[in-house]
Amino acid sequence: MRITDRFKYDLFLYQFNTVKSRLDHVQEQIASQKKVNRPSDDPVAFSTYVSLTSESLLYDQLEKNIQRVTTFGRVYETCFSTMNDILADAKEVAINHASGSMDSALRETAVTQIESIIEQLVTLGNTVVGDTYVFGGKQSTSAPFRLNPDYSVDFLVDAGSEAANKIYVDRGSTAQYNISGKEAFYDRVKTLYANPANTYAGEVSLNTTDLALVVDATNNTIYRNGTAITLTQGTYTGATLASEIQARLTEVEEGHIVAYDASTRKFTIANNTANEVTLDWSDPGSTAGQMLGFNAVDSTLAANGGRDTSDLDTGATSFTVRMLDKDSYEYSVNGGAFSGPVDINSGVYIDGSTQANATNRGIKITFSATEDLTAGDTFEIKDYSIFDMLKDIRDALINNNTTWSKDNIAQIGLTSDIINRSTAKVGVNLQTMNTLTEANNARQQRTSKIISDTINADLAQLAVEYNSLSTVYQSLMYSVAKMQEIGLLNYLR
Amino acid sequence: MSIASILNIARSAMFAQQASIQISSNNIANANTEGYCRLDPDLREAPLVPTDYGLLGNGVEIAGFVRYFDRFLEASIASRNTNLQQQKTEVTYFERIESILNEDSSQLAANITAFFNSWQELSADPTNLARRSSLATQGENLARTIKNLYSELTGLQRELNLKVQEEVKEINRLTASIADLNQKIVALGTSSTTEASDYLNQRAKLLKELSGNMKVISFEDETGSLTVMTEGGRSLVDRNRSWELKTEQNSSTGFSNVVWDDGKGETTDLTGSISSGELKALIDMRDKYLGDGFITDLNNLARVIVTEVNSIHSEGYSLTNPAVTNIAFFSEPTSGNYASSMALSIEVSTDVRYIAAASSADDTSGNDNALRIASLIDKDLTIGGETTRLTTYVSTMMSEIGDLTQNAQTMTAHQESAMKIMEQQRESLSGVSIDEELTKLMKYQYAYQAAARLITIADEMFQDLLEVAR
Repeated sequence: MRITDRFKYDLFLYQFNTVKSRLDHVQEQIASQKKVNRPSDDPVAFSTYVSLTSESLLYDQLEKNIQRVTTFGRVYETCFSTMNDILADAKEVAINHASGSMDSALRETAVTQIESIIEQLVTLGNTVVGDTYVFGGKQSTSAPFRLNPDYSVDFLVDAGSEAANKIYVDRGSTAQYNISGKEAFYDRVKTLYANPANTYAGEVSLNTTDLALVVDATNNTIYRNGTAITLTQGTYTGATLASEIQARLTEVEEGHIVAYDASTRKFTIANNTANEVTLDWSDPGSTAGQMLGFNAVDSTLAANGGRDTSDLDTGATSFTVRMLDKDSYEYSVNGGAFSGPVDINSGVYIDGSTQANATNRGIKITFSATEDLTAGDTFEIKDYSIFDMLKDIRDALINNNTTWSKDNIAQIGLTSDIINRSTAKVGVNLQTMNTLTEANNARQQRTSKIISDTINADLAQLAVEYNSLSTVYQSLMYSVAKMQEIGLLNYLR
Repeated sequence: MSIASILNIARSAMFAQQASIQISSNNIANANTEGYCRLDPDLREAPLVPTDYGLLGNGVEIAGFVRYFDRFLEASIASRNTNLQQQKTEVTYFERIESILNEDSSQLAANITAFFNSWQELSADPTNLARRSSLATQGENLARTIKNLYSELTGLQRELNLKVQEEVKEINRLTASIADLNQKIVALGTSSTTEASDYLNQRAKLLKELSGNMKVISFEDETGSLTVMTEGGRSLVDRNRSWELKTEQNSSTGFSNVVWDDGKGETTDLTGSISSGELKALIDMRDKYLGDGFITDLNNLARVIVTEVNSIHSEGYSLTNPAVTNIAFFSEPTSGNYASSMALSIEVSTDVRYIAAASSADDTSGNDNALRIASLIDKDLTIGGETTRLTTYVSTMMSEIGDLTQNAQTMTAHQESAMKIMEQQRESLSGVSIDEELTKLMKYQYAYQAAARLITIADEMFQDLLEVAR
């Protein structure tokens, strides 16, 4: 075959370009320390790198979320520990007073001590981490508690914001990161508070803690996928009403679970059917929605496990009872207008009715006949509050009412339960976060390793390759120089 | 037979060797000229002259030139060039698309993740205005990223459209030149002159270039004229006439279609029937890989992000007083083009309190809605008919452009390698070897010197003869 000069030079040029291109490629890999710099270097590896890098960013975010839950948890632990300590002091004061061993000077000191405890609790309740009020529930930018001059404490969080927020701590899994003031300082147990200024010092009792849910013709309908479901009219507890709703939903389609959580007084409706289900709470015909604590917003429950939980507390009703004379009282519901006279102990329920209804909600109040009630004596039935309990102790000290101090000694026990419950919750949360942190770190490391194995360059190997290619390149240049020498033209010079 | 005849023989020899040296010189001069076919003189013995002793030689004459040319090999090279140029063009543009989409520079997947992570950040403190502002900024970043990518890809598409128009002009220039050369070659009537050889070389080179532009069918008739047709049989060159390709705007895409003009005002659309060559690569890049490919993919991605986020966001409630619902997070485009106009809604860009993190008007400090939107990053969504996750969709786009680029690079390397072999064969036949030409030069030079010596001898003979007569 004839070998022409042009071909020789073209071939050298082609080979030069090929080697130079490989040399540049290796040089780029060394400089970037990555063996895959662009999708075409290794499409599968690059695609994996993009996916894993996104995952890694997601894990970074989850780590931040876990860290937030952990930070809050540590703050709560400290707060609850302090609360336990200072409430033990309050209990000691109440015991001393109840024993009748306090003179006025001691009572004055005790009042100051209780006021100081209330102030400390309010300060704890308004604890701020960063720019977040940790007991603010969902309303975390403003102080949740306000101390009034009479040492009553107002909870300033709107009803809709009382619950705690959740954040993602794992893929598809959320955790409550804060404990609302409502949860930490209050309880769902209905409690009767007497006014320590009352002259009545006899026994008064509240003989139900479970509010009745009364279903009648005005609130007995749920709309599911546009179809009305009618609940059987009657008086229910939360648990029995949950069973009734479940039974009615099951009649339409198997696979619904309805539960009632007594600690939050909320219903949860789960859809375990194979189809998506919509609960049409926005439908004006869905009259049961308000009683069950659902906002008027439709909920779509995903198939095989989708769920919807009441937005609001279904049992936040409070009553105020005001004695008109020794035989009758009047009452108001949720701070509304007073009812007019009701004979004491004549009816079964607080409104004098013989059966539970939507007004009395199954609440009964009874007084012992040993002492006379006096006009103007007042009683309140509402959810338990640590602040109210402490104010009651303070007022009992001021009024030197040892009966109410005695009653409050028992109430402090409930306070401990609330704190212990919250402490346990925080403990479990922190333990879970520890586990999740380890799992997340392990995932991060695994992801980093895969990214590293997929993308990162082996510099030693590249250095060897670079040297090898450099030698080839130099050899090529040497060959060109030699090729020039062996031309006939050189011999003819 | 005379001394003068010796001078004649010497003269013819000197002329022939000089002409041969000139041919070798020309070969050397064109050693690096692309498409050049080396020539050799066709030296023949001059017609014999009758003498008293019979027929004697009368020197040498140049009967013509030998042009080293293999028409079948040239046709194969032209055909191979069609695929090579297509692959080269594809590599060029795939690499450009790759550089635009490359995650390391575009940060598309990273921005999508950062955007949904911001929803998680907001869910941790839904009333915090700083977190809301941060989310709005991440939303803007994501929208800007998608808009920039869209702008770059559509810019490239417009550039390709201009390239198609230029390519058509280039094809018309080549076909016109081939027709012109046809006329000159046919007029010369023979391929044995250097002039014809030059035209033939030029025509072969133009045909190779034309084949690189688009796949053509060509053949030479008995007159030496080259006929060129499209692969669909439409004439491009016939003898001294050429037909033009034109571009016409496609009303639905706004881009140029390639049409064949029959010269009588009738046109035939060739856009879909061009099967290979640079023009095919340009059209495919513009319409298939960008128009129906990555631009559509990006638009589908933007559409799903906008509609899914807006769908949940509009069910939520703002932090404003009073709380409002049915607010979009991203503005809805007036056309179906989501990627080009992706932006925050006026409400959200004006006041971050319009971000609807809560799911209830009674609980505007809630985070349920923020959590729902944050969960979209892990949700299987239908994007462009596929059920996939957002970042998986992006990584699939990366994988796709990587595969296309890598495949085009590999194919180009193969085509270049195959072309090298064919060019080696061509060079082996038609190319100029300097060593060979130098050898020939020596050969012709010695012959020329010998012929000159003949004149000296003849001159001496004349001198001797004149001395005798003196």
